[in-house]
Amino acid sequence: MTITKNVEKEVLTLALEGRLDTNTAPELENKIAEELTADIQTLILDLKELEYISSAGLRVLLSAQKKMNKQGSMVVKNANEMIMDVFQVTGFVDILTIE
Amino acid sequence: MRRKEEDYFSSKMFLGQFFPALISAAALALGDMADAIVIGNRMGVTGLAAISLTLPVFMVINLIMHGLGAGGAVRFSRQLAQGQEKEARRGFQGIMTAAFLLGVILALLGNLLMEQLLAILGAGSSEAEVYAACRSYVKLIVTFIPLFFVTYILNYYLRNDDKEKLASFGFTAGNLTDIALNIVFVLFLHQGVVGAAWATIIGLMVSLCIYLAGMVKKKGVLCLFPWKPDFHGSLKCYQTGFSTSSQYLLTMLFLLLANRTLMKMGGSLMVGVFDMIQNVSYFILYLYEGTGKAMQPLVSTYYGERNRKECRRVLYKSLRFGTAAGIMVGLLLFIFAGQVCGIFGIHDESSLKVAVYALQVYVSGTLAAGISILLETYYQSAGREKSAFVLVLLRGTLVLLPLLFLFSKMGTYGFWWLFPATEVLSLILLYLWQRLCRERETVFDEEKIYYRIIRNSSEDLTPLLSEIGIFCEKWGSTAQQQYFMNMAVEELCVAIMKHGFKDERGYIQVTLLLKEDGLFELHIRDNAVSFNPFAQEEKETEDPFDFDVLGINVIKKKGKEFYYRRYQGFNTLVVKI
Repeated sequence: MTITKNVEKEVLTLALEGRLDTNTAPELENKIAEELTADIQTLILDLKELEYISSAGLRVLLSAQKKMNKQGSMVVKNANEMIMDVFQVTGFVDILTIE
Repeated sequence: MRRKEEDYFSSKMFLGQFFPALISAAALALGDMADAIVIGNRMGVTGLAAISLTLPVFMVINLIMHGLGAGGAVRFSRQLAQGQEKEARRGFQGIMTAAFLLGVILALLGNLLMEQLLAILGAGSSEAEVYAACRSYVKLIVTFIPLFFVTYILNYYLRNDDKEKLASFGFTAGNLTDIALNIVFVLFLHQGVVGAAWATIIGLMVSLCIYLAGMVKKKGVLCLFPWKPDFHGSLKCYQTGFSTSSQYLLTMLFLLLANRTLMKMGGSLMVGVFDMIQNVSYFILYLYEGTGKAMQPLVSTYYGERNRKECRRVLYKSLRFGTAAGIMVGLLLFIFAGQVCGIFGIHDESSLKVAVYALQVYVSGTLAAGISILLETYYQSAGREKSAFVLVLLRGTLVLLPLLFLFSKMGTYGFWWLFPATEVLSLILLYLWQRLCRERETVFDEEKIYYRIIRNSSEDLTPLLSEIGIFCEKWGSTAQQQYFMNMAVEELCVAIMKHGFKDERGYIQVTLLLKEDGLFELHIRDNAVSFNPFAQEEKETEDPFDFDVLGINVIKKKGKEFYYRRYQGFNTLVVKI
């Protein structure tokens, strides 16, 4: 998985590419822990190039959402049809802000 | 992956079946031999003649019960491998009901038409003493035909329902009871053939009680209630099993002809030696048949999963183990041929010379016979009923009968080469027939099957998932199928690694195949402790989700079918997407 970072003032954007599964989820978890400083108000996860997410990836998203609930907001955008389907089936649509 | 790891599942499952089946085979052989020795020693020719005349009745019983049992068990295994538990259970109930009803009809007809039956058996022309003994024996055996059917067919099914130890235990206990009661009834209580018949019947009752008690104690797929039998597949089952059972019909024909030929050639000496060889043959050939019984559930299961590679692996393993056991026993019989003949009462020098020669020649052909027995079972279990039937036909009739005529011209010693020659020639002709008719395993397209074994390591998951994706894409899956198949493999493997394995020596066997209906069917087998990922319940956590079951729940919602069973000591999962 490739993670591309972009910071503009207090907005952190992480663009994910490839697969977010059992083996790559720790990578994203570390990246978020590393980049999510106290001055970040908004976290945007751009899933345009993300092909696949499993429950291991969902766990990282939930963990990021919980962190951002304390210091601002989190937005998930450009999820493909399949990933949206997973969000629907799991009930993540009710927890995440999806654009 | 090393060869040993690749072989892990088949080896474990085969060995789990092999030794119980071997014990059963040895018990059965001893039972059959003991019958002949006890009755022969106590009652002489009258008893033996009465029992010999009844042989066709046993052949009819064998023809039906082995046909229904073997065919039904093959279908049962295949259905379970495809997750059709309910259909498999209903099919079992259908076969058991059909067998029982057929048994009752045969028992009623046999009793009503007893005189006619005895005439057909040839008892009419025998001495009064033989006739009376035969009548008493046949009457009891015919009356209990339903018991034969139910007990033997249940044994076949139990072997395919992860209860091979119960099947072997019940079978062995029944046979030992038969042997013990034979000695008590025949030798001590002087009950004659009636005692021998009751020993057999009580032995069957003991086996049946053990099977039923085992079924109640440890629940499997097999159960009689709720009773919703499905009779539709019963005839098809019989067709599948016919290649196995037809040998009894052919054996009956051969026995009739061989006895007449031998009587003409050398009188009672040749017939006596022939009887001795028939009895000794049980010992070696039952070892191969036992090995075949160990192989059948595994090949049927792998065939259901369309895993030809593992089907072949089990066959090679069966050939190795079966021939090793057969050669070992064969060598002992070859070396101690004189002593073996003595047990059957052949002591005088001239008879002993022929008998020892005959036995040694016979034993030299048992390797080819054993290979044929194993191939027959394999073909039958792997959807190649035609090959199985051709081999049975060659060995039992097409090669055997012309050679019987030919070898009957070769004198007292030359005759016995009939058996090795028949077995070797049958195998050669089978090979030529398969080449000529292009009869081979073309039932399913191997290209449409993906197979891999991974270790208990998340590192092995990445290449596995990548290959699953490539496989799905290659065979035109929809984007949704590909996505959720990937998710099914990942979620299930991770759950097994996390909750099932207790140490690093865990293996997961993954088979994925494209079905004719366009669905992808995933089979996962693992050597973890008993663990059903689909039965996990959501636990209360700090998070709004229990991530241990979240992914599995997605699979349950997106999959067309999902199924778990513990089989042959392994967890087996089936998911269709």
